[in-house]
Amino acid sequence: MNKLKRTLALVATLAISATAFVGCGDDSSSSTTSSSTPAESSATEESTPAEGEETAEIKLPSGGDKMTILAWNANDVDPMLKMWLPDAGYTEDQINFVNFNVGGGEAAAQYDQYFLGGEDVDVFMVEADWALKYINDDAATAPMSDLGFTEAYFAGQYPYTMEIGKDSNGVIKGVSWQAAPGAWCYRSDLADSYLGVKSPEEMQAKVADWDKFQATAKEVSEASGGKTALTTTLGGIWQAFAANRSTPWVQDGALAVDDFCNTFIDLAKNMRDNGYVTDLNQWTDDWYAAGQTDNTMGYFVSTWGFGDSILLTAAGGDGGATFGKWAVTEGPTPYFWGGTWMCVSPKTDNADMVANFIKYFTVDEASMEKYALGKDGGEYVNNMNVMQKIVDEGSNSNANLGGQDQFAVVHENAKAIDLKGLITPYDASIKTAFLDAVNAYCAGETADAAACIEDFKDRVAESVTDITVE
Amino acid sequence: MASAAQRNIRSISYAKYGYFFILPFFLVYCFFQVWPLINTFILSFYGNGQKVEDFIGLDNFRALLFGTSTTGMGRTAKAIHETFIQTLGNTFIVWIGNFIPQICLSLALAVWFTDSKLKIKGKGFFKIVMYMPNIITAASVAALYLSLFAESEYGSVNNLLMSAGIIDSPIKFVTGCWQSRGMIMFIQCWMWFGNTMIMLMSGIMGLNPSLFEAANIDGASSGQVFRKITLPLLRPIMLYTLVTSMIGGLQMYDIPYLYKKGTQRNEYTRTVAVFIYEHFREKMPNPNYGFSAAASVILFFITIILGSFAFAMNRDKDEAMKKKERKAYAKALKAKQKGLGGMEI
Repeated sequence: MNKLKRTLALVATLAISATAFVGCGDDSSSSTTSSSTPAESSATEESTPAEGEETAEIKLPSGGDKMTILAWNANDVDPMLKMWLPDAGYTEDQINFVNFNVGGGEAAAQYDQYFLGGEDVDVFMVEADWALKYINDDAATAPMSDLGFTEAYFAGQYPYTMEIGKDSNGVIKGVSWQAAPGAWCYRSDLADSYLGVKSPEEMQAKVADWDKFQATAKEVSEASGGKTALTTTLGGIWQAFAANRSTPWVQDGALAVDDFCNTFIDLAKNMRDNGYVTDLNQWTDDWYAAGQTDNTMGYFVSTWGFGDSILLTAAGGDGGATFGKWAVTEGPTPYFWGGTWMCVSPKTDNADMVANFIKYFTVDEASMEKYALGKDGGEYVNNMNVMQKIVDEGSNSNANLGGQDQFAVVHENAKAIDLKGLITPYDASIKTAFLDAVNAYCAGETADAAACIEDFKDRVAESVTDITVE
Repeated sequence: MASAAQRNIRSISYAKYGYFFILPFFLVYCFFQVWPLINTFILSFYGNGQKVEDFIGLDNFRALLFGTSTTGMGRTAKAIHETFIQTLGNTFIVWIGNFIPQICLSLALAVWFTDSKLKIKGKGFFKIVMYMPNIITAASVAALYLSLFAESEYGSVNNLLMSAGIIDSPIKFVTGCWQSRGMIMFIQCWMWFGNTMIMLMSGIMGLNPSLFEAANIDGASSGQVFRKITLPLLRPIMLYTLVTSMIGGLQMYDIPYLYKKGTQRNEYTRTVAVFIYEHFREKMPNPNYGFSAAASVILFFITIILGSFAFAMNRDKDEAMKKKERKAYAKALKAKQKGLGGMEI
């Protein structure tokens, strides 16, 4: 009896301890099943409607159990799978979608953990800000050529999206299905009363570059008696302005501080001191609320920002205080803001499926057009021909913009974005540090432009320990 | 008189089964708590960013505490030192600024609620209402205060004050130096005074009621009762409150982290815990594990030192004096015996 009790106690103890370790250890079962059933996997291959000439060039192995996709939310992946699976002849059982459900900025930390666990991964999504962390790492991403894609396949993509997907040797390792060119939205009624501007074209002429932008800001300020700022946040200006840089932020492992910084500091100080821009910050309640008053007349907005994310909320929603009073124009400079890229793990075991997936969303114009129109709320897909076609058809009109087609405007901007291969893995940290330093200077926390630069260097030195800051 | 059999039974120990049952907890605890703790100490001797595998000895500590470095951190060491000292200062300012009003308020309420002469009605109701803020999650509290005290003219409180003509321009509740610190002190105080009050009340109710009766019969005023009876006897509970609040205060993280304007962090309310988190998670593309771990270790030692200090301060002085006297007496006795040697014989 005693023995039985002891055994039971021991078994219970072990069982309880075992549950604690359930999450640990790597899931090797999927790889064992895949290797033990070659017959089954080759059958799948045959039933796949994949194109013969591409599968032939795929250098990575196929035939894995499931295609694993990593992303930080389901906003894109769910609609993508919904459309792609039936078209490609796959079933949901063949997909393992790992949704980390965090903000885009936190996804990299989650990925690092996941990769350490050694579990199956085929495709993962990255943001431009930290894409290079993985793209420059051969252990994390495989070249697109290993899937049978040469640069020619992506000829229709917006050039800047291609630049971001290349590693330091110019090898394409990330591709995007969406482009996120930005534009500048303004209140057309205020523009009419303060500037006498009647159309987006006239407005564009008044904000065509940063000097004109400041001059127009002055005009608006004077006409409104100092009440109305031309645009809402320094953060928005910086988003666009940062795209102007002609040299990389990091050269030979050291932070490059040049006239570009001083130009922006002067611009920011001028705009802020004179009330040409409000002292609000992006992503605050106030920031949205300002759009329903006459205190500001502009927002920098990217393709994804015309809906709830920025402009619609700023207008007070459908039927809000300023709904329908907006218009969009290219703004002082072409820039992009956001977007998501796809990378392929070199450890993939479903190369044929992955290749099909990438082809469907980034190469094949017919399916891309289908996705652009089919996704809820539409998608600005990363193909110039497709977007040109959609713009030419003129089917899109935005009620909040008084019926204007925002795609027609950003489409022009997108083609003009030129990154000159300037991206470094540290850009996200450096750009944030610079904006913080400039905000501190404008708030009077640092004495002059030189002190602001020193503050900026300190901030970078503190956060990015991998580069030298003199 | 127990028989041999009874004695035998008494010697059977069932204690080991107890150990078996708590074994799972300790296994999990060692794996998920003790090892990460030890690993933090180890990581504090290693580099940052890409150099996370390089052993750099005490350089992280040198950089954080003195802004110097022997492994060429240069400007990084200086910058990180300034930030770290600032966050340490912020932590103490915000903790002290919330602890002092909190303990005064809690003590006053606890004394009033336990005073049998006052006969306050609806004690249970007040206790629940005052404890309530502690139940709400910090995220909701931060969101609530951020929308109430938004710093443009559209913020509720600013709007109210401006339309009432009390202020001309909006108060910077979120980014201003002392305004934001004051807000966080207030939030922390508001969240925790109910908790402290309940703790002090249970302490007061545990005191011997005959002391209060005797004081009443002798005609002591309530002030005298408070100063001469309640406070001295409440000392152990006060010490407990002080130490737990200090540990919690030094690690203050949630409200300072969440109470910010948009995505811009406020430097005046950045605590050490927020600093640790930022370097652990929010540095792109590579986190600074070394600084993060070293700052944790420094915080750990500060907590130990302050904790021991608080205990030493609050030691029973009479007891300590008596102990000293006893020791001196024993010493003297010994010396006497030694000195007089064989004389006594």
